[in-house]
Amino acid sequence: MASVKLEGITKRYEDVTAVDDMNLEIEDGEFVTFVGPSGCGKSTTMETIAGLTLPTEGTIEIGGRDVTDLPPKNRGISMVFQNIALFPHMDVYDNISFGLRLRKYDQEEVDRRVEEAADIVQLEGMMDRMPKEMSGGQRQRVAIARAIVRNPDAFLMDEPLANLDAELRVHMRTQLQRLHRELDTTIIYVTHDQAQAMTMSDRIAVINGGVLQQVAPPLECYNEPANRFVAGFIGSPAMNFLEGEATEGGFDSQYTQIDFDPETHGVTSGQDITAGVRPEDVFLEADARKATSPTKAFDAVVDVLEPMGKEMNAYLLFDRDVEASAEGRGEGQLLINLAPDTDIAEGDDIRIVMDRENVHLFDRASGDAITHSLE
Amino acid sequence: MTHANDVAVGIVGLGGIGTHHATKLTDRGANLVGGMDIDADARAAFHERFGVHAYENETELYEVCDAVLITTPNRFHEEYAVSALEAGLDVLLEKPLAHTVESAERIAAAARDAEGFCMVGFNNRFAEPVQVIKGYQDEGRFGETTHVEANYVRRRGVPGRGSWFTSGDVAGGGALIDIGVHAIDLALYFLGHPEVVEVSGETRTEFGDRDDYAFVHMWGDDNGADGFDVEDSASAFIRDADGNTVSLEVAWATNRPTNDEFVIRGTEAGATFDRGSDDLTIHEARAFDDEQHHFSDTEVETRESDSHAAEQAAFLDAVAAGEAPSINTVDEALSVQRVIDAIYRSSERGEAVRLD
Repeated sequence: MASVKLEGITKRYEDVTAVDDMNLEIEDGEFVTFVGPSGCGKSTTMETIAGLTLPTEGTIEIGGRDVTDLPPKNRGISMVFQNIALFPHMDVYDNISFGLRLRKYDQEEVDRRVEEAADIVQLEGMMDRMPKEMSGGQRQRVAIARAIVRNPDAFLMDEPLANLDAELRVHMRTQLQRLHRELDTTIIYVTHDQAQAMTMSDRIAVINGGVLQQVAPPLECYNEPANRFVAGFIGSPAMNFLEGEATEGGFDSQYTQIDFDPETHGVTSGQDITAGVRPEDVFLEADARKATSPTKAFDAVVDVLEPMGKEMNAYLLFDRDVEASAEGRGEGQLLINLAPDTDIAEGDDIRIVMDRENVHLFDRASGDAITHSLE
Repeated sequence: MTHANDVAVGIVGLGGIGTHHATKLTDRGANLVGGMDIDADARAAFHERFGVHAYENETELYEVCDAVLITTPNRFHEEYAVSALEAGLDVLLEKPLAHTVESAERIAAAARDAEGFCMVGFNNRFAEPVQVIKGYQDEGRFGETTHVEANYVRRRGVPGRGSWFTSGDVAGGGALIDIGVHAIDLALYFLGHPEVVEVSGETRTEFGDRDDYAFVHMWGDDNGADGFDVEDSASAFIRDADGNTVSLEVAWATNRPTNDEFVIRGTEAGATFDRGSDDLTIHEARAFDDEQHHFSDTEVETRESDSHAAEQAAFLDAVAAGEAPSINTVDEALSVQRVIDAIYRSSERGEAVRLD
């Protein structure tokens, strides 16, 4: 078990900076997920920790030891990748034990560790199977067992569930959480899927454009996003954004006006501001009491309804002249969550309120969060 | 162990290239202790010729070896390389690293963890003119090398049709994976083995699958068009992370004269190297105080070299020293394999493929 520390990690290619001055301390036993869109630098960061890529600048410590220039095999880490790289000509036992046999562990110890790992990932009784006789989920469990037997200081996992179907992915997510609990070991996990990041991690490191945006527990990233990028990336469906400016009395956009005291929140009149509100923090006017502190009501038109079973997504337009974008999330559009039995139809004129307690403000120029509540 | 010729070395795969390596090893007085092949005739021929035991099972061979050369058909590289690494041996694995990029990744992962090392058989790097070019590059004579024209083009030179070389299942491809692998490796070697970020390529099957395939020479026996299911030529454009590029032409068969030229283009000088003849010319354009502007083409004469022998020497020296060689590493071979895979994918999709 070990802490992992990244200090000033930068990875540069000619005119592209893939990772920019990354500073991060991961505690012993912590489950930290690097999350961000494709190409954001999360895998490159992981590769520098693994030793598969040398950083242009900066140092990496694992367990207090500078490993920046050490080869992967001397870093005390185990890796699990998206591509489940099992040897096709070896059975499960040989695949799991391969790393131990390379290191010349005695047979008794190899057997003990394989048995223990197989037990953790529930592969008992499958030791003789060949990879081609197994399902994708079983193969990934073999890959994880292979990482476990090495008893590493830290696990590095890069999109390990990406090749599995949706149902299996959810199942393996739970298994990985259980694994973390049982082994009590440091896990660094890379994914583009914010649902995996939210559900499994002690902390999420949100990365965009090679730059660390926020490192915080999942709910903190959700409730108090450090900037507009994090606010839009964490949460599904994503937060709604309204572009406008600060006035003497609050916030004004083309379609909305929200009262608050600018001074209390350090906003100056005339400042360009983006207001953010999550779909679950917007209510029909009739349900305004569900909001802790409702705004005044706004007119809207129901564009598209998406019944999801336990809830219903309603894509709204602030006015009939708004041209709906393909994603339904453009300017003048708003996505809200309603109860599945709400009496509402596409084309209806409705009135809505937002919960001021959960309206976020971002400085439009920098994207930085100004406040997470207008109360 | 103090001397390279004390290293107990074995060979897995006793076909054409395995026998070639065994001959070179005995020529230099190396300690060839045995071979292994699943084919009884190959074992008998090897034993007859080299006077050492040929095993049916690789684990028995591994027990008497410090190091092995693996010269099996591509598809079996992984099985034998991984078991040799597991046995704690150093490995010289013939090119390509593997028949697929996935298999190549697994071999590289095993090598990273192993006590021994895995060197890959890109023998062309050991040709004297190549090392001369490298020497001038290191001295700065070329400035920045920004582009390499890499040609490995045979007018007609499909290896025995119907042999494993022309079977996609066993070889993993045709001309591209067989000889293109050398051209890609050499080009990337001249560029300092950078990170490749984009590949655009096209592969073609135009001759080997024809009943009327016309040729004047063939490596092996011709069993006709039926056993041929791979490409016989490929063209590609390769871009690295720094914007440097490689233009690649590879063919077992095409309607143009044979071409073995590598053109190395730097900001201060260039070079033309003919892999077939070992001819090397350095191209410069100079002036003295803005007068006497002129072109200068310097012909370089080098010692005769045997690239396979030089490669074996580097391998055995590294084994004797107990240190992995810094040349022909498994990670370099893996990046070559990724480029090959990307050319196949690019050709299939009809568009460039990103690798970053």
